[in-house]
Amino acid sequence: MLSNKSLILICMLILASALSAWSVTDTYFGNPFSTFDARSFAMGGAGLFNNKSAFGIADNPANLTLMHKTLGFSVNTYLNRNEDNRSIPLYNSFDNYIDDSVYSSNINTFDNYALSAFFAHRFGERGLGLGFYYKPVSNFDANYKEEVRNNRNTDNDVYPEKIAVNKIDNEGSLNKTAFVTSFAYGLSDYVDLNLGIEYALLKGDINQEKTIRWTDWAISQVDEDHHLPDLTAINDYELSGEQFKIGASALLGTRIGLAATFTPGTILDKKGTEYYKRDAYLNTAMDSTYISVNEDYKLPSQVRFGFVYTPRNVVRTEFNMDIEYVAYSEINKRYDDVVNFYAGVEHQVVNFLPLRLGFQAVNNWYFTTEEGIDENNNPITLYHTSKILTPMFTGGSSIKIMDNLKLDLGFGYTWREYEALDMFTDTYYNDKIYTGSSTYVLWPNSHITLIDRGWENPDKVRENNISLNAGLNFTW
Amino acid sequence: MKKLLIILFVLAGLSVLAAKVDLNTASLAELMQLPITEKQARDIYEYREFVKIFDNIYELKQIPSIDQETLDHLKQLAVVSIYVETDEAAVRREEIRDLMERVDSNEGASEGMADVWEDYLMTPQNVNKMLFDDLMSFPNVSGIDAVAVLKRIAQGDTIADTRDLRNSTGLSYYGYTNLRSYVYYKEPPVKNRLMCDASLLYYTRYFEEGQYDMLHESFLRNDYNAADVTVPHLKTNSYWGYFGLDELDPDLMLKLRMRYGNNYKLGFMNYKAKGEEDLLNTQAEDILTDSKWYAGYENNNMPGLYNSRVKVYAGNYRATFGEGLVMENTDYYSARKTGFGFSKRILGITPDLSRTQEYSLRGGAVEYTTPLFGVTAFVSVDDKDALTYVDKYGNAIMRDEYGNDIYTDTLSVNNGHQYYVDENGQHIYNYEDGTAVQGDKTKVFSLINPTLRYDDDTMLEAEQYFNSEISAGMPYAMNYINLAARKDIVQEKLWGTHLQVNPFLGTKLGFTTYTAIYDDAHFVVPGYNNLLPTVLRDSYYYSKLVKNMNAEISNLYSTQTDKYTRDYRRVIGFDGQTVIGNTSLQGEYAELSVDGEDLKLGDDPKAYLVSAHTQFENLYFITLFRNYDVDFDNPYSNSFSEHERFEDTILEKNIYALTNPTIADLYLNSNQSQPERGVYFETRYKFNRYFTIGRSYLDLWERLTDGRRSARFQSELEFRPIYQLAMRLRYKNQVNRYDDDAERGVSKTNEYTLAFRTFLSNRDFFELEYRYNTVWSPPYTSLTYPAVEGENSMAAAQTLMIGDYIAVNYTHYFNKSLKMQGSFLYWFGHGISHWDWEDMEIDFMGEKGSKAWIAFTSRISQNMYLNLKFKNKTYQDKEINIRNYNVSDDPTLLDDPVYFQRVEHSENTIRLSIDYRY
Repeated sequence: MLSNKSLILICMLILASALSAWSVTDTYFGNPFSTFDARSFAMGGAGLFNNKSAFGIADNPANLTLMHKTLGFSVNTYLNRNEDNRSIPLYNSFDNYIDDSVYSSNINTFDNYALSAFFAHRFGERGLGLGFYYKPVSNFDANYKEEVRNNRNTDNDVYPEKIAVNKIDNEGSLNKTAFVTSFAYGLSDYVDLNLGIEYALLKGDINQEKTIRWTDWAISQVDEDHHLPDLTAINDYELSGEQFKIGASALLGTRIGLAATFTPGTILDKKGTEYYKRDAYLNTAMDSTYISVNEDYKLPSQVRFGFVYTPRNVVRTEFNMDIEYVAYSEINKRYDDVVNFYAGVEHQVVNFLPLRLGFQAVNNWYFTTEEGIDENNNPITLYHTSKILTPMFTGGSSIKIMDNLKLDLGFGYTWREYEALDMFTDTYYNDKIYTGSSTYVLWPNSHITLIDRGWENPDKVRENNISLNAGLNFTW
Repeated sequence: MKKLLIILFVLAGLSVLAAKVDLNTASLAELMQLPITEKQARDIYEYREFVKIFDNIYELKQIPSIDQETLDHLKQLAVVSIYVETDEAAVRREEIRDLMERVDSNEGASEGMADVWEDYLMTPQNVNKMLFDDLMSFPNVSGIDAVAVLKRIAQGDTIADTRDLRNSTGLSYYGYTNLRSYVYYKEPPVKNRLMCDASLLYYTRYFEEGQYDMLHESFLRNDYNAADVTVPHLKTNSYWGYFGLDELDPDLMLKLRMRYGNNYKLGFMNYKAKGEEDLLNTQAEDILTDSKWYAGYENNNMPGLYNSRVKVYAGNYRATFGEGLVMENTDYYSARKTGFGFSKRILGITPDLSRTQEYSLRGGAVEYTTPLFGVTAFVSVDDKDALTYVDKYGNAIMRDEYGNDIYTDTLSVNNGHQYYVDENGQHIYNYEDGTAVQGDKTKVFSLINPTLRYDDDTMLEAEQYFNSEISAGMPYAMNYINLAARKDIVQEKLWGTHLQVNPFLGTKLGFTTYTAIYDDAHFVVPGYNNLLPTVLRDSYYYSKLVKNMNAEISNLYSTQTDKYTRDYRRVIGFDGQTVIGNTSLQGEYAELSVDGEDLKLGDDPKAYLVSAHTQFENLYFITLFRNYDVDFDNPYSNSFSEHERFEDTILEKNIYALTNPTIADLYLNSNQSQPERGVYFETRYKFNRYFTIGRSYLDLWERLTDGRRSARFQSELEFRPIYQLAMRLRYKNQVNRYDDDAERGVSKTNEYTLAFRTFLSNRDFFELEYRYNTVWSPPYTSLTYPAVEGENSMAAAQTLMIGDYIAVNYTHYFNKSLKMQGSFLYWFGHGISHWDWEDMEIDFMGEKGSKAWIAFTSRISQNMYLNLKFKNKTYQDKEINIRNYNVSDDPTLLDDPVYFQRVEHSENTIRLSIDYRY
C-alpha cells in the first residue's frame, strides 16, 4: 500500500502536470494568437507588410500610414474549435511497444474578439497617423473532462462503472490595448517609407480549476467509516504590464515591399492565488494550501521580417512572407530560440473576390516540472522541456459589402503532436489507500496494479484546431 | 491653298496623335492628366502593373471602374502601343512553362534529374551538333529517334526548324514532341546570361510503414516468459519512444543554383530530413560537409577536335553509364527502370543536388566527348555511413591490417595496450617483428543509409540505454547491440573511368570501372552459417530463421574473407548499344572483382543486362533480359529489377529478431536490385483514336537467392469514344511460385482497375477510379494446431485476401496561373498494400482507411512558383485485427480479451515549396 508521503507526491504530480500541460493548461503562454487580421490570417499569418486592412496596425505599427487611408475601423472575431485526443502507449503480448490508443477525447469551441481604429493624414510627402486597437494576445480557455472507469469485464453487456470524473476548467486571456502612431515619408507614388511605434497595456485574468470528484457509485461502494478524498486546485492570476513595439514598412516600387518589427522582451506583473485542497481520508488529515503569488511574467523578445511581392499576373497576385525570431532563451535557459515562418498568397480570381492561401509553421516551448526523488531519497524537481511545432494551413476570401467596407474571412486548420505527462495519475484511484483494506472495492478485477506513468510512458497528445477568423474592415 | 490645308490638317492630326497618352508606357502622373478620376487613373496603372500589359484599348473594360462612357472618351485621348517582351529568358520561360511544370511535378519520380532537364529546357542545345548520348538523355527520346536526327546531320543536312525536325525520317512523333523543347536550330533562344534558381521545401512527412514498424520494435530482456518476472512496459525501450518520434519534425530543403548560360555552374543544397539538425543549429564548419554543392564548367564547343565538348565538375556530381550496372549513384530505388520512356538515365557526369546522401560522389569529374569517342574520369572522397560492429559499450570494433579484432587492455599490467586474441586464446600485444599491435581499421558490416541520422554520441547514448535493458534479464545469445549505424565512419576514396568509342552512327561501346578504396575499414560479413548468430539476438530463432534468402546478406561484399584480402571494392564492366533499323539493342556486363582476375570475364560475381527496343509510329516493344548474381554487391548500381535487394530476407520479415532493429535499414533504404534472372516484355500500342493499349508488360523472372519464380503481367486498355471522355481498364497479375507448392512464399495476385476520366473545359478533369485486388496464398494448416497428421483438422489462416479502393481525382485550373488538384480515396486492404500516385509522389496504403489531399500550384509571377499541399490520411492499424485474437496469457488479463477500439492513425501532412527562377 502506498504511504501518505507517496500520495502527497502523487497529488503534487497531478498539480504540477496540470499547471504546465500544454494547451489544456499552459499557465505560461496559453495559446498565443499570431494575427487577428482576417486577411493576413488567411494568408498564413504573413502580414507584417499590410497596406490593406485596418487591423494591419496590430501586426506592424508602421502599416498605419502605409495604407494611405484617412480613417480605418475593424472588428474581428476568432472562433476556434479545438480537438484534444490523448493516448496511452500500448504493448502487445510480446511486451513490445506497438502503438497508442486514445483514452480521452475532448472537443471545445472558444471565441475571442478584437477591434481597431485609426486616423491618418498626409501632409504632402509626409504623413502622420494615430491608431488604437484591442486584441487578445493569448488565450487561456480550456475544458477537459476525463472519466475514470473501473476494469469490470465487459462480457455479457456489463458496464464498467464510473469511479471518478477528472475535470479541468480554465478561462481567461491576456489582452492588449495598444496605441499606435506612425510616420510616413513618401518619395513617389510607389515609394513610401513608414516608421511606427506602439505602446500597449497588457492585462490578463486567468482562472484555472482542476478537480477530481468521486462518483456516487464509488462513494456508495466504500463503507461509511471511510472517505474517498476529492481534490480541488484553483489558480487565479492577474497579469498586467506594458509593452513596446517598433516597426517599419517600406514600399519600394510597384513590386516589392519590406517590413520589420521588434518587440523587446516584456516583463509583466503576475499576482494571484493558488488554492489546493485534498479531502481527509483514513488517518490522514485534509491537505489544504492557499498561497499568494506575486512574480514576474516574461514574454520573449521578437524580431520579425516580412516582405510582399506583387508581380504582374493574369490574376492580380500578392505574395507575403514573414520570418520571425523569438528569443525563448530569455524566458528559460533550457529553451532555444526559435524561428517561425509564415507565407501566403492572394489571388484576385474575380474582381473583388480574392482567393487567399497560406501556411505557417510556429514553434512553441513548454516545460513540465515533475517532483521526484534522487538516489538519497531527497525530493527534487525535474524539468522537462519540449519544443512543439504547430503547422497551419489557411485559406480565405473577402466579401465586398460597400466600396470601403468588406468582410474578410479566414479559415485555418492546424495540428500538433507531442508527448505529455498523464494529467491525472492512476494511483490516486487506488481505493486501498483510502480504506486501508488489502483488497479493492472499486476494481472488480483485483489483479490490476495501479501505477503512475512518467516520461517512460507519456501520453501522446494529438490536437487539431479549426479556426475561423472573420473581420469587418472599413477604410476610407 | 487646298494643298496647304491638307498638310495642315495632317499635321494637326499627327499632333493630336502625338499628344495621346500611351496606356502601356504612361506614368501614373501622366495618366492622371487624363480627364478621368484619380481612382480610374490609378486602376489603369495598377491593371497594367499587376495584371497585364494592354493588348488593345478595349481591355480597359476589364477594369471595373471604367465604364463604356469613359472608354469611349479615352479612345480619343489614349493609345495602346504594341508591347513586345524583349527579355529572352522571359520569352523562353513562357514557351516552356507547361513542360517545366510537368518536369517539376515528376521530380519525385526522377530524383535529381529534373534540374538537368530544366536547365536544358531553358537553355537548349543545338540539335545540329548534338551527340548520341545527349539525345538519349532526354525523356521519351529513343535510340531510334536519336539516330534519325544524327543521320540527317551526318549526311550534311542541317535541321532548320521544328517543322524540319518533324520531317526527319525515322523520328517518331512521340520522340519529336519531347525532343523539340530541348533543342534549338540556328540561334539559341537565350544568349549566355546569368540564371539563378532557388527552392525552399518544407514538408512534414511521416515515416513509411516499414520504418515506422522498425522504430517501434522494443528492446526487451529475455525474461518475459518467466512467470515471476514483470517486464516493465517502457515506451522508451524503442527508438520511437526514446527519441520521441511522435513529435512533428519537418523535412527542410534549401536549394540554390546559379549558372552562366550552360557554361559555368554553381549549386548548393542543404537537406534536413526528419530527425536531423536543421541549418540554423548546424555548426558553421559542418554546413558544407552536411550539404551538397558543386562548381562546374561545361563547354559544347571546344577548340580542337570537331564538335568536342568538355565537362569539369568539383563537388557533388552524379555519374551514370550504360544500364546502371557499374555506376549510377543514387540512394533511391525504383522498380522496373528500363531506361526508356520516362524512366530515363542521364548518361555521363551531371551536377548533383539530389537528396542522395549515402551514395553521393564528392570530388572531381572530367568528361571529354566527341562524336567518335568519349573519356570520363572521376574521383570522390566522401565519408559514408556504415553498419558497424560495436562492442557492448557502443565503441566501434577496430581491426588491424591482418584482420584481427583488436581490444584494449584495461585490467592487466598492459593497461591501455592493444592486443588481439590468437587461436589459442592468448592475448598478443606485439607482432612477430616486435611492433605493437595496432587497430586502425573499423570493422564494418556494410554501407547503410540510415533512417535516423543522429550523430554518433546521441545514438550511442540510446544504445547504452537499450543495452542496459536487454542485459538485465537472462542473457540472450547476443546480449547487447553488436551492429549499429555510425554516421560518416568510413572514408571512401573512389576513382573511376568510362571510356567510350562510337564507331558507327548509333553504335557505341563503353568500358566503365571504378574502385572504391577503404583505408580505414574492413568490411567483414559472416558466411551463411555464421550469419544468424551475428544478426539475431536470441538463439531461439537460429533454427527458425534459416532460409535461403539469408544468402543475400551473407553474400554482401567483404574486404576480408578466407579467400582474399583487399581494402577496396572494384567493379569493371562494359556496355554497348547499336541501332539497326527501327530496333535499338543495348546491354551492359559488369563484374565485381573478388578473387578472380580483374580483366578475366566470368570468374567473379557478375551482372548483365541486354535489351531491345523496337519502335513503330504507334507501337513499341521492349524486350529485356537481366541476370544479377547473388554476390554481385555493387552499391553504385541502379539497374532494372522487380524488387530491391533484401526483400523477403530476415531484414524485411523478421525485424523483431534482429540484434538491432535498425539493421533493417539495409532493406528499407536499399538502392540495389535484388539478384534476379528474367526476361521482361513491354509494349504500348495505339490502335486508333478510340483505343489504346497503354504501357503493358510481362515479366518472367527467377529470384536467384532462393529460386522463387514469378510472373507479373500488367495491361491497360483505354477507350476514348469522344475526346472529353476516357475509360481505362487495367489488369495486373502476379504469381510467385516455388517447385514446392506448399512453400509459404507462393502467392497469386490479381488487380483490376477501372477508371473514368472526363475532360472538362480549360484542362480541368474529373476522374473516378475503382480498384479490386485479390491475393491468394496456400492454406497453412500448420498454423492451427500441432501439425500432426489427424490433428490439424482445421485449415485456417488467410488463404485469400481481398482489398479494394475507390478514388475521385479532380483538377481545376482557375486560370493559367492557378491550379488546384485534389483527391479523395477510400481503401480497404486486409493485408494488401495499395499504392496511389498523388500530385508528385507515390503513397502506399495498408489495412483500411481514407485519405484526402488538396494541392494548389500558383504561378505567382513568371519567375516564381508556390506549391502548397495538405493531406489527411486516417487509417486503422493492423494491430486491431491482431488483438481480436490476442487473448493474453498475462494472469491479470486471463480470459479477458483486450479490444482497443481507437487504434487509428490520423496523419496530417503539409508540403510547401517555393521556387524562384531568374
